[in-house]
This record gives sequence, C-alpha cells and structure tokens, in this order.
Amino acid sequence: MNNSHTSWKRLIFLGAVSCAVASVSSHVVSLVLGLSPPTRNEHTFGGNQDTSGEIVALGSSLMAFGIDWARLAKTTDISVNTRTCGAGSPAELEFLNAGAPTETNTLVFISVFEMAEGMLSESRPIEVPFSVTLSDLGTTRPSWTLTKTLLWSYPLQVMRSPFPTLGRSWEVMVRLRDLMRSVRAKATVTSEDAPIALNAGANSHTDTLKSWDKGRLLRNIKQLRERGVSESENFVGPKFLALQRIFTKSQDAKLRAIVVMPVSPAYKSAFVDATMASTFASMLRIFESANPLVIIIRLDLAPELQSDKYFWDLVHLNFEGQQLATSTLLEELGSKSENQ
Amino acid sequence: MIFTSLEFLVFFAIILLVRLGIKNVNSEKWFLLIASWLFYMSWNAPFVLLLIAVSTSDYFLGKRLHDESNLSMRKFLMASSLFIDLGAIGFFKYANFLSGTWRQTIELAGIRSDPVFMEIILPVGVSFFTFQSLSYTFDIYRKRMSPAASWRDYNLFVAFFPQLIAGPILKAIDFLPQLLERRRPTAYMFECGLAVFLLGAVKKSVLSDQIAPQIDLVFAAPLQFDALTLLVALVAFSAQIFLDFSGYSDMAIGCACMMGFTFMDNFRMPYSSLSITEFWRRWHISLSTWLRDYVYISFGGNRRGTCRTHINIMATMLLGGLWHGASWNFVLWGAIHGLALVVHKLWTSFRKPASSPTPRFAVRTFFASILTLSIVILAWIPFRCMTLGDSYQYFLRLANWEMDGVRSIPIQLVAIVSIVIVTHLLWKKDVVWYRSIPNSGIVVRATVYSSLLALIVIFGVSKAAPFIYFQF
Repeated sequence: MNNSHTSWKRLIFLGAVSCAVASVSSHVVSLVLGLSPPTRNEHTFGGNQDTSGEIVALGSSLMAFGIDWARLAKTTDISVNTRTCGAGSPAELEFLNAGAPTETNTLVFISVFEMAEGMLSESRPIEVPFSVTLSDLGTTRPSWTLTKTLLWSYPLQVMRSPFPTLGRSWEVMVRLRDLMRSVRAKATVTSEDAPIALNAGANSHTDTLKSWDKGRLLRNIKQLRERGVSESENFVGPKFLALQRIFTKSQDAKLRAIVVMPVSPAYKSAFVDATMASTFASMLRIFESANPLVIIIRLDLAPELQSDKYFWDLVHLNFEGQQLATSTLLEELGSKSENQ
Repeated sequence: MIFTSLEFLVFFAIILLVRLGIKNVNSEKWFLLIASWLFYMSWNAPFVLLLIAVSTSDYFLGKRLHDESNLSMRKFLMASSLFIDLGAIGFFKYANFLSGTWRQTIELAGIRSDPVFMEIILPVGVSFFTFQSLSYTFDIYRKRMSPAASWRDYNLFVAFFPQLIAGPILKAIDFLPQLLERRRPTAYMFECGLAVFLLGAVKKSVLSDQIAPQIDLVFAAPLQFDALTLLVALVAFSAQIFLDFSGYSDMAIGCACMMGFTFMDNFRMPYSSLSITEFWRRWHISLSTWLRDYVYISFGGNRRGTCRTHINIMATMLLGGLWHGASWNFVLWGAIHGLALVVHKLWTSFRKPASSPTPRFAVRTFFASILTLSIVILAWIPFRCMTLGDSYQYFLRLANWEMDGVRSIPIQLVAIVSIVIVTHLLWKKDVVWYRSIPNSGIVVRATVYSSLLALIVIFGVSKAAPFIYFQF
C-alpha cells in the first residue's frame, strides 16, 4: 500500500485538524444543549444569605429535589447551607463538607440509589482526590470492572477539557430529545429522564412516575442498569468506606443526622431485593450504635412516601412528594432531637 | 480491554511507541507476542495457558506433519490436531450442552438420570483461536504451506492481539509470510488503519452501544411486548449485530494496518446481498471461507453429485451454527441458512441469472433483495433468543401480529436502523471505504475524520458493552 496523497507530516496535520474540529464541535454541542460541567452547587436558605448557615446539608439531586429548604429554614428559623452534586454519594459528600465552619451542624443525605457502588457521580474525580480513591480501592478490593471504572474516571475528567461531551452520550441524547421536542412544540418540555439542574428547593415537577407507560418505565430501569446500578457489590466498596469515615469523624464535622432519602417503589422492585434492604438496614444500625449522637432518619421508610405518585422519575420526588418529605423530616428532626 | 475503551487506546499507543524504538526484528516479534498475551490476560489470565498449549501442540504437530511422508501417520497427526483443538473447544464450550442433550435423549428412552452441570468458564475467543490454529495443520496436511519459521512466530500468528478475541479468523497461509520480514506501515497504510479504526469505533460506540440496551430489554422478555415492538427490535438487532461485529472487525483491521499488517476484510455490506449465497460472501467472510475451505471441502464439497452437495451445505451450516454457541438455537439458525443456501442453489440451477439492466431485472433485483433480507432477519430470532421456546413464542407473536403488550420504540432505535438501511442502499457495496478515502483530497479527508471523531466524542457510549461475538 502506498500513495502519494499521504505523508507523515500531512497525516499529523490531518490528525491535529480533526482533533481541533472535534473539540470545537464538542464544545458547541455542550453549549447548545446546556451540558454544564459537573460542579458542586451551594445555596443558602434563611438567615443572612451571605453567611454560611447554621446547618450544612450535604446530598445529591435526591436531596435537592426532595426537601423544600426554603420552607424548612422558615419553619425552624435556622439558616441552611445546602451543598449538592449530581448523584453525590458519601464518597463525594465527604469532601463537599470541606471548608464549612466548625461551629455548623451537618446533615448528610444518602439513599440506596447513590449507595450503589457501580453508580458513579461525574463529580467524583473532581471532588475525591486520586490518592483517596487508590487507598479506598486497596482497602475494599472491589471487582476489577469497578476498579477500572473508578481509576479511568480521572483521565476521562482531564480529557473533558478539550472534549466536554466525552463519555456523556446519555446526557447528550436526552438533551437532544428535549431540544427536538421543544422545537416541535415551540415550548420547553421536560424530558422523561433529563439530567437535572440542582437548584435546591426549586422543585417544579408536578408530573408523576405513576403516569409513565410501561415501556418508558422499563427503558429507564434498563438505562439505570447500564449506568451501573445493580443489586450486587453494594455496601462493601469505596462508598461504604466513605460513609464509615463520615460516621467516624462525626464529632469533628458536627454530624447531627444521616437522612435516608426515599426512592420510588418502582425503583425498589427493580433494584432493591430483600437481602439488599436488610444489608442496608443493618449497616445503618451498626453505624448508629457506634455513634449514638448521630440520629438516623429513614425517610425511605415513611409510609406516606411509598407511592410512585410522589416521584417524577425513578428516584426523584416531585413537588407533592417534596412537601410530604419536608413535613416528615421536620417532624422527625423535632422528635428525635427532643429524645436526645 | 475492549477496543473502544480508554485502556485499550493507552495500551495500543504504548505498543506503537515501543515498537518504534525496537530495531531488531526478533525482539519486535517477542515484544508483540508478550503484548498479545498480556492483552489476553486482561480478560482472564489463567486461560493464556490454554492459548499457549493449543498453539504449541499445533506448532509441533504441524512440523511433524510436514516431515512425515507416511499417509497413515499423517492422518493420525492431523486427527491429533483436530482432537486437541476440538477437544479444547468441546470441553469449554459444549460439555454442558452435550451432557444436557445426552440426558434428554436417554430420558426419552425412559431412563432417569441426574442432571450434571459443570461450572466451566468459557475462555474468551476460544472458538476463534482454535479454528485459526486448525487452519495451519489443515494447510500443512494438504501440503499447501510449509511450517512456521519458529514457535514464537506461530504463537504470534495465533495470539496476535487485534484478532485474538473475535477475529477475523486469519489463515496461517496469509499471515505467517507477513512475519518473515519487518513490518513498518507507510503513512498511507497508517492512515487507512486509522480511518477504518475510527469507522469501527463509530459503528460500535456511537451506533451499536446506543441501541443495545433497548434491544436487550425486548429480547429478555419478548412476551410482554407488542408485535410492532418485537418487529422493530428484530430489525434493530439485525442492525446491531452488523454494527457491533463489523465494527469490531474494522477496528481489528485498523489496528493491524497501523502496525503494518494486512488482514482480510470480514464484512462487505452484507445486507445489500441479492441472495443468501451472496450474503455469505459478505457476512463474516473469514468464518464462511474457513467453513468452505476446511469443512465443506473436507466433506467433499460439490464433487460428489447434487444430492451430496446439498447435504454438505446443510452439514457445514449446521456446524457453523453450532460454532456460534452451545445451544439448539444456533443449530436452528444454521439450519435456516443451510436450507436457504440449498434452495438458492436449486433455484439458480433451474434459472439463468438475468444480467441486463432492464425494468424486469430491476424488479427481480428488488424482490431478491427483500427476500434475502427477510430470511436473514427472521433467522436472527433463534440467534438472539435465549431458548427455542422463546424463539417460537417470539415468532408466533410476530406472525399473529399480537398487539396486546407493552410498546417500546425509542426514537434512537428507529434513527440508527434507518442509518444502516440508508447506508446499505446508497453505498456501492464493493467499494472498500477505508482504502478509498485516503486517496481523496485533504479537505475531504479532514472533513471525514473530523466528523468521525466528533461523533465519537459527542455520541460515543462511555461504558462500552462487550462485543456480541465475544461470547462465541
């Protein structure tokens, strides 16, 4: 094979041009579709907005959508500083708390969804130092697949500087569908499974999971499986270790409560079997008995939230669900604090 | 290490860079051999011993075969090679299938027996490397080639990492001569390799992996979906398996080309075929030529009369089906293709093929294309379903057009199927794309490569699903 059109110099030039064009395309697509880079979100509710708050609440989008922080701050007359990151698990939450004033109390929000070891937050390589990941992998020795995924998330994050859409095809496809729908309807329509903006407290979702057709439900469950949610390898890996550390350092961080956010019954029937539920419960019991000052609030067991009508997708509460969860949280905080 | 993963890209970049620094041809071959073994070990480390054992036995048997002049002894040596290679594949792949079939058979005779199930892990790529190794002893037995220059060269032929896991199934007669001299790619060759690698990555990561979850969903429980969903999923699976497997082959060919080696093409627009015979000249070419050369011809080919020819075709396709997996589903798939090939052979012996571009010819071509495609697509039902029962139910729901069930037809499924159909309709089926693009002007090439790269970074699925053919 030989050809006069190609020389090594020309090939290098072609490669550079192709990379540059692909990079520009990736940035343009990211901009047009509104794909923001994974970042932590911080909001303060109640009190003086400039202060850091009397309570720091750490969590993921489940917390951001699940609790009406403005109402909570108003009812309790306490200022709350929320810190969230998409799909944030204890692994990321451990580092989200960095920089919080030592006099503030901390609430950590977890759920059985984020505790799934295979479900990785895109913020992980940004929030969790590589050395911590290495040491956690060494301690927990998870499967080779999970180890590879965790380790490769760091170079992938670096490569996202020139190519912001790299490895985010799921979000691209969903946003693209949204865009097509909105162009067609000439109005903004919320996607069936859109990646979400974490504006804590601002839950405008009134649609319910109950109204989904079976096909859509099955597709979304399958999609979650593809993204790493599964029944296996949970409560034994780096996320578990991070939660353990959060409990161990609870006195330094003034950890007051661990709140377990609910997931929809549809999610539970797909991913949470009896063994997994009991492992999760016993894990929490062990932590609780070792740290009696930390209260554990199980919103996931609240009977009033056990319906798909309070969720707008498989794991996020809708507006109605948020109001119910906020009321329950207020009650639980009040009663458990009194008991202590 | 899947070709579309970051780890493979790093691995391959290291191979290319280190190879540049190696001046000695022998050291370079050792380096490639060790790299190939490491590549295999990334899947399942202990099975590299099986790979080495199969290669080593065939290397020495081949040497003896070449030196031996006694026909009985030659037959014995050839049989030994068959026994070892087929024994390896038989144990790891078919032991449970055979014991299950045996149990069912004796139960039909009224004899009760306890089920025996062995926990056997299937070594990845075992069907590919055993067949590849067998081609060597077959060709030496038929005196078509001389033995490999060294044990190292022979092991490198069997284990060469771009083709190790899922082909193309190389023939020793094509590849071993490439190891006799130092291979260095020209810039043109490198560009061809890069182009076909990018195309393969788009097929796999952007198209196939994008629709795989939806198709898996339907085939996991077909009874809960309506007939339209089943039909769309079936057509989508036809697209997926083509994209997945030809994507893998493209990337394998691309990697080899970037290192200065040449592999045979494995796919040439198979869904454009006008007959089932043509389909098998365009689909998984390395397997179909292997089956033709070493099974069909060994059975006697077409030299023993019409009836025997048809039996040979059927037997070859049944074995070809079984090669894909230890299940009656694959046997059924092979039987459908075998039967279609026999019918087509009978048809062509009665009718002369029309060759002039008349309107009648165009109509015939159209119907031939539709008929071929329909057979191929319907035959994917047993190929993809888990059991024969599932296949039957799937077919029945489709045939009865049962609409009581879940409808799940996401837009990307339709879009990607349309892309495959349109490409097959528009593309000249005999043009080898990756060799023609590097001949174009620089603007065309820059546009094509930028587009492929942009597609990968925008739509490429990060969690690469294993290639479908890895399970075989």
